[in-house]
Amino acid sequence: MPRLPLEGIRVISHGIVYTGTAAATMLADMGCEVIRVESIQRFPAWTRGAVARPPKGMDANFGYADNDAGEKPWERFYSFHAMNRNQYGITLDLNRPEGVEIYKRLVRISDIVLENFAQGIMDKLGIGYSVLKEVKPDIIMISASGLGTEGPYKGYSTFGTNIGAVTGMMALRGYPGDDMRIRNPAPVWSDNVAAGTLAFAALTALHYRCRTGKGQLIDLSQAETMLPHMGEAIMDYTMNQRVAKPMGNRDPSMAPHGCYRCRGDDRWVTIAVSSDEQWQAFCQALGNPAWTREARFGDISGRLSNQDELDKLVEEWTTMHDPYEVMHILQKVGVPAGPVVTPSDLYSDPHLKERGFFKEVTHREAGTHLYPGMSFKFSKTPADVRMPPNCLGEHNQYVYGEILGMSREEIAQLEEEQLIGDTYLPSVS
Amino acid sequence: MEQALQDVRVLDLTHNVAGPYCTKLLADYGAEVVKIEKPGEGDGARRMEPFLGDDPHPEKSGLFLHLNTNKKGITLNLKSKTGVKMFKELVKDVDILVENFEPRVMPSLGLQYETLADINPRLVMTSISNFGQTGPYRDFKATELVISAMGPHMFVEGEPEREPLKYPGYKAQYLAGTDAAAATMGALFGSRATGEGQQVDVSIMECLSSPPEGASWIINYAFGGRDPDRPGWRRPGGYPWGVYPCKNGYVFIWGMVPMFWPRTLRWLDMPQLYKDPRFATPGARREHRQDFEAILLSWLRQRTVKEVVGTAQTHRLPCTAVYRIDEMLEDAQFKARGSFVEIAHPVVGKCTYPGLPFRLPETPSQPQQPAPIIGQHNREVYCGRLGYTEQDMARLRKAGVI
Repeated sequence: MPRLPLEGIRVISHGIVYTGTAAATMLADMGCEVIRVESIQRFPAWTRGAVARPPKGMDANFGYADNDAGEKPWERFYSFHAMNRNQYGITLDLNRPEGVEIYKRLVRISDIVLENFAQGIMDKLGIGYSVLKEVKPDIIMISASGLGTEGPYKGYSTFGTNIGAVTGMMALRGYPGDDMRIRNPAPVWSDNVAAGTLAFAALTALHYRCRTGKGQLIDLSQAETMLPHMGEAIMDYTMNQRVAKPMGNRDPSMAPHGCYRCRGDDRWVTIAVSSDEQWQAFCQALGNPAWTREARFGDISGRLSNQDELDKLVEEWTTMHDPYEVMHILQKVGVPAGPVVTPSDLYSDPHLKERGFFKEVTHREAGTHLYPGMSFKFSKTPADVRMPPNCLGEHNQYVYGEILGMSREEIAQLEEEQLIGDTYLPSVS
Repeated sequence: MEQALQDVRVLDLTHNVAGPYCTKLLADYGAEVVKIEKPGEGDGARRMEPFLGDDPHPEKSGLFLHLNTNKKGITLNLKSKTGVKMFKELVKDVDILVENFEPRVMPSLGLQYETLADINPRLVMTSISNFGQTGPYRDFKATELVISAMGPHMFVEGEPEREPLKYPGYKAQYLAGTDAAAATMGALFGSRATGEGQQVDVSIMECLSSPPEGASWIINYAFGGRDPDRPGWRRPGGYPWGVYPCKNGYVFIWGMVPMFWPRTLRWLDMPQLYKDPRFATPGARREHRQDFEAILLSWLRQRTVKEVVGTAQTHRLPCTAVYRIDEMLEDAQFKARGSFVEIAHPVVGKCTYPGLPFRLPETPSQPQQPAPIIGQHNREVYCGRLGYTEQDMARLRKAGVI
């Protein structure tokens, strides 16, 4: 196998939930040796499940592999499996001085530490940047918090949806003319943005270190990573004092431009006609029905000002077809169109299949499934799933033994003292 | 002033949003980015809203100005033989080339990766496109709306009885630009180590389906065998959860799991609700949502957003303001941290822009240079880097090459 680009770079990850975890995964995919540090004493909610051991009953198995939480639910939770491949997983009790001492030995031979704990946790554990810098002067540390670790709102408790709220995205996500109250989204978009930005930040700091020998602490605010992604709305305000409003699926310069109902239950297609040539091609693909020749739809300004009627007529056509059919009919004549997909659509999508996007992964505790892959393809050093998502403490032997050079007896002693282990303590809920 | 990526040279053949955001990240952290535009019309983003004073002038697009800070701008006609020759000269001594044409374009110009790698073996060539450089949809057309639909987010967004909802702006394209920047830095690291570059193929469609969130929605299907529904704004789970009106604006509260219930009651200072049979268990609370909402809404109506957020946060309840754009620009946290910057532009003047997405304490300078006027750095790049003379420049201009 070719040498991966980031081989030889060691990363300690305290990633929880989405942001830190996905960034570490990206670095691992590109070849970093990522050591994921967990503990058998603490269960961080939403990383390996809502709780360590879900109470039996209705819905208790939802989100677990094959709808079965199993004996070790934390090894079978879906969102953990969406990420965390290609990493070594260790456990260590950082609440005890012995744990902290071992941790420092690991930091001494690492390049990057990333964490997205609540504000101040790393300091409280005695492994804040000022301590780690003493241990490893050129260490790069990235603390990713919701609003940043400095500033008047530092330490505010936030989830991803809160980040959408404070960055203006939530107020703009809606149907035209709807009420603010209905604008809370289902997904939490900002984590995607913060994760990619965090990976970029780590590599930018690494590049700087290669040239200068200097490490640093990056105080990354997830909210700030979102601001450039709101650029056009921000500029419209700062240039024109115009406060943007939700546009739904519409566009100021294209029509038809929308999401239309298709044949089937809750099936939809998107169509975006972006020029007069595309409009002609669109009409032709529909067989030039009489309404397409109406003068009010003849040019873009007419189509934009008669959009409500236009959309109804377009939908009369789309409801006779499956969304994939509409895509193929329109793409054939060069008109942008695509189905609103569900996960099952993606699993059977011929394009993703041909590009090898999904990877078959067999996991010791969760069985064999197809996993979504990477957001990038390298031509010479392709990323692959080299290791499935780690089990709790799965690589304790490797990391403590091979990397830190401890003997079997020493490692057994750590297990005995419950500094490390591979199962959450019974007291952990 | 020293900058993190100051020793990185980038050739930028990008337009619209995804490609320019990728190279903006590189430029804002110090890389020397030379952006190549088509003579005359330039980057398509120059024709995209918003415009200063709603005047559709190519130097007045706020989107273009935002996406192209700290870059140098040159013009070059790649459809002319001379243009292609000059481009190949420029490729010789750069580290990175980023482009986001439709995948058929670069090969049609004779500028596929293999050819460029012969000229510069250490070149990292990042190609961003809607569907990627291969596969049956490779030449399909898409816009932000269409590509958004083809990731797992849009189907679950919006009200159950209505059509699925796209995110505002260009979220899919910005995300692809972000992921592409990270992948480009990874490939650059490899190229510096081995002397061998490669092509990085970034598909916007795949970015949407990747970790963290897209992949989570998708794998949930592989694990559970059922597609998600579109839940809409009223969800059956725990509360307070959602957007709530206050005296002078809105807050969002993420309190859907049981651990937040005691914090909520301490925050509202309503200990009597603990023992109230309507709210004693998660199940009972679910049934009496309306009763609780009535209590909460009347409490919130008497208080400002600032008071509500401040008091909720002292009880560690994830509650924040829901800002309109104008309110966001006044946020105390963003202001204190310098999250926005002022940049002066020769045509548009001084204006506030989004600042860096993170700051490096070792090299803290913020973006200073405005986006280039079309062809602004032709002389600097062609004369300075390639050694052309004034006469050459006049000849090239006349021939429509620059």
